[in-house]
Amino acid sequence: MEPLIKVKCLKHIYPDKTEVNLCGLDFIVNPGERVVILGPNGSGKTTLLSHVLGLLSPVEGTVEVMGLSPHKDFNKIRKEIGVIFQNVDEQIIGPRVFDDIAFTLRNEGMKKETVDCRVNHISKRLGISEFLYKIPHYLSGGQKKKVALAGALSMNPKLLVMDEPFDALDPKSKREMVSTLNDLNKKEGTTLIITTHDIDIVPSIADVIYIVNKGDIVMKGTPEEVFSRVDILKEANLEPPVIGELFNRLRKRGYIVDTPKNLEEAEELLLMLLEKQKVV
Amino acid sequence: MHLADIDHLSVNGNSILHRCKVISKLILVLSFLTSFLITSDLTTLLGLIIIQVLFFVVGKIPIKKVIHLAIYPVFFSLLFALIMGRNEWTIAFVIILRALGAALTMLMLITTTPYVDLFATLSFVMPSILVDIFLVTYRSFFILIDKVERLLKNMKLRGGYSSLNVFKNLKSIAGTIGVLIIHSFDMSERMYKIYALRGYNGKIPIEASVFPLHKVDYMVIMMGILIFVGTVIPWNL
Amino acid sequence: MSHIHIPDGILNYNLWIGALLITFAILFIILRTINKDEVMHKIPYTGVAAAIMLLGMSVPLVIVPVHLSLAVLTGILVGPKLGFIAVFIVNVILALFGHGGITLIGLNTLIIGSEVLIGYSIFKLLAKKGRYIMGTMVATVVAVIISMSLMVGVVATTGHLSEALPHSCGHDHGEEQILDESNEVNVYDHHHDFHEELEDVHYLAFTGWTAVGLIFAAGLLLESIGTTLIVKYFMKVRPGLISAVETQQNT
Repeated sequence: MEPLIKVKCLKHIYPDKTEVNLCGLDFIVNPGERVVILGPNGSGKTTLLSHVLGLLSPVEGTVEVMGLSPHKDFNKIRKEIGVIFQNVDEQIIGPRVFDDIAFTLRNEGMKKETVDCRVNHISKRLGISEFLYKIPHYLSGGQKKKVALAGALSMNPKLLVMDEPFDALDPKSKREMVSTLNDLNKKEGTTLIITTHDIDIVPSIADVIYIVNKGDIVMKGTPEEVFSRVDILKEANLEPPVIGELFNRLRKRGYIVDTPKNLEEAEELLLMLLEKQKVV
Repeated sequence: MHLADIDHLSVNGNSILHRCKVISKLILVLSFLTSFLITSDLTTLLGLIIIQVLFFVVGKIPIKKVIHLAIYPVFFSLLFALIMGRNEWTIAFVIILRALGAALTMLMLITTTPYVDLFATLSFVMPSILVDIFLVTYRSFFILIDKVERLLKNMKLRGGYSSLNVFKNLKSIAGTIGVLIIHSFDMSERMYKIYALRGYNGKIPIEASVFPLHKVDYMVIMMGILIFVGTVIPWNL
Repeated sequence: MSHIHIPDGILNYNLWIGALLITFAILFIILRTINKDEVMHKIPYTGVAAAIMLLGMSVPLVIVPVHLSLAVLTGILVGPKLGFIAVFIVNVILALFGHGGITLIGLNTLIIGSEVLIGYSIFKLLAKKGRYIMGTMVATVVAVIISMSLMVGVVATTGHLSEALPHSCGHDHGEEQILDESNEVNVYDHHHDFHEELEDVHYLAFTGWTAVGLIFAAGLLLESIGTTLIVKYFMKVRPGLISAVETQQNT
């Protein structure tokens, strides 16, 4: 299968002469994958995303998205990509929620009926129909994130790129966001690229994890693989998810257990262990 | 300037005036403004103000809020009235009432019309660049006001304020404004990028509906014409 | 910092309508001559600059009784053309909210706009020689003096005008005001008590103009020191923001 995204040994120089070298492993994303990028602040995550989105042009190295150069073919690529930036306030352009969701659709010159239909469909799906005619700055953080997501999904993108989408969300909104994204990935096959600091959420939203540290892509693997490499995580100032760490320690004590993906799986596994103990 | 207060009134309000089309309100406003500016007759001015207040009542805008918002222009007109009208109290009143009337007219428009609708309607005659800058200014204002409040608090907490040392204050304020501007320009860079990603091509698409006008619109327009004619006719006789 | 504060209904029609028409003409020329692609990039930039000016006028800085109008700084940062647009937008929004006076949109845009243009030009000239800090100081002082004179001049020479109320753009509403003469409001009798008023003018001229002078001097000092401090701060933490002025194509 041809990968959706290929990034090889990228070098970027910012106007203030800061150099970012994203070398090490190649960054490869296959269609339909859920990819999470982890790394400390300033490690180069945002630079990587900016290149994938075509907002920056690399000095050295290659960036390919759907076989094209995102910077050169910006206008072709952007229609296939939905984006949520960290600060959603800055990305909401439309003066009302409806206008914002319709922003790209109208820019593409779609008919009013099509625009209305799509906006209504998306807002229903995300549960934001009731404030379609509200002005964005009076919405809560979680609601704004949903509006931004609705705007990003309006063109039915193949790829959804999200910088810290769980930032500043309360636990309930976070769970909703995770299930919405997973649903999208499952039903529409949307490829997801997510950066986050919220490590506990990662197992439930990632097929593949990349760890970026000091400008290098230092590791790639499934959540199980990545979270078992505590040494690499520590070096990148990251800590494995609490559940993962717990099961790691259990393994070290001689219990034969896999690392569960979420709380429910962990519960099942622990119950099984306890049941065995009960029998013994 | 209470931008947020006014925004609330216009967005959440529900009255005949809120429901009526922007274009009819603009006609009403134009007629009110002209009437206020050309009249020097105290009774006419008073009459106009009373009609204006009635409009606020119809618009379900709390009069207390209106008074609060009108204090600023009235304060300035008061100064002028004291100085210019020192020989004749009628002049003083004319000055105050005219200024109050003009301010009330604008407030009536903006407390019953969400800014989006206003600019959407104005976009028929205004170049799109201007409309876009208006919209961005408005949004940025609300994003920035939170930042400013945090920065000011921070500045006070960190001792950047001393009630005696004006120069020190100025220096802290300059630093605070500096931080704010740098944040803001970084923000505008990010905004541009995301606008571009979302397909921005030099015009924020907004929908404005002028037609069809409804009964209430015709009523408001008629009121506007009546107010203007009512002000002009006796004045010419 | 110059910013006329006259209630609606006092200014001579010719003056405010004329100023409004000139403002529209300038806006029209600016919009016709700017490079559309580059401007698209700068729309968020300009909007943010306008929002900062608006904030300056709506967030009361209790610490110092006046605040900075930042017009020269705006010119330095976004250039004279977009700076002028930002000034216009700020004035329209202020007027919409009953804060600025609908009849003053044109006049205030022209006066503050002149500050933007003059400040930008002088700064650009001196910045080319690498004199950023001195450039800011000189640019602000000259721009503010010229815009203040414009304000007083335009208003005073129109004759019918009452006062060029110097307003340090802020919340120093308690400050002394100056007086001239006026009978614009008194439409029935233009020459009413003209001589009497003329005497008043003589009497008031001294105290009035001294007060104006003092307020202007204070405003000038604050604006120029404030702007210079801000630019100095930029030079320290983000020199690119200021030095960009040299490469700016007058947008």
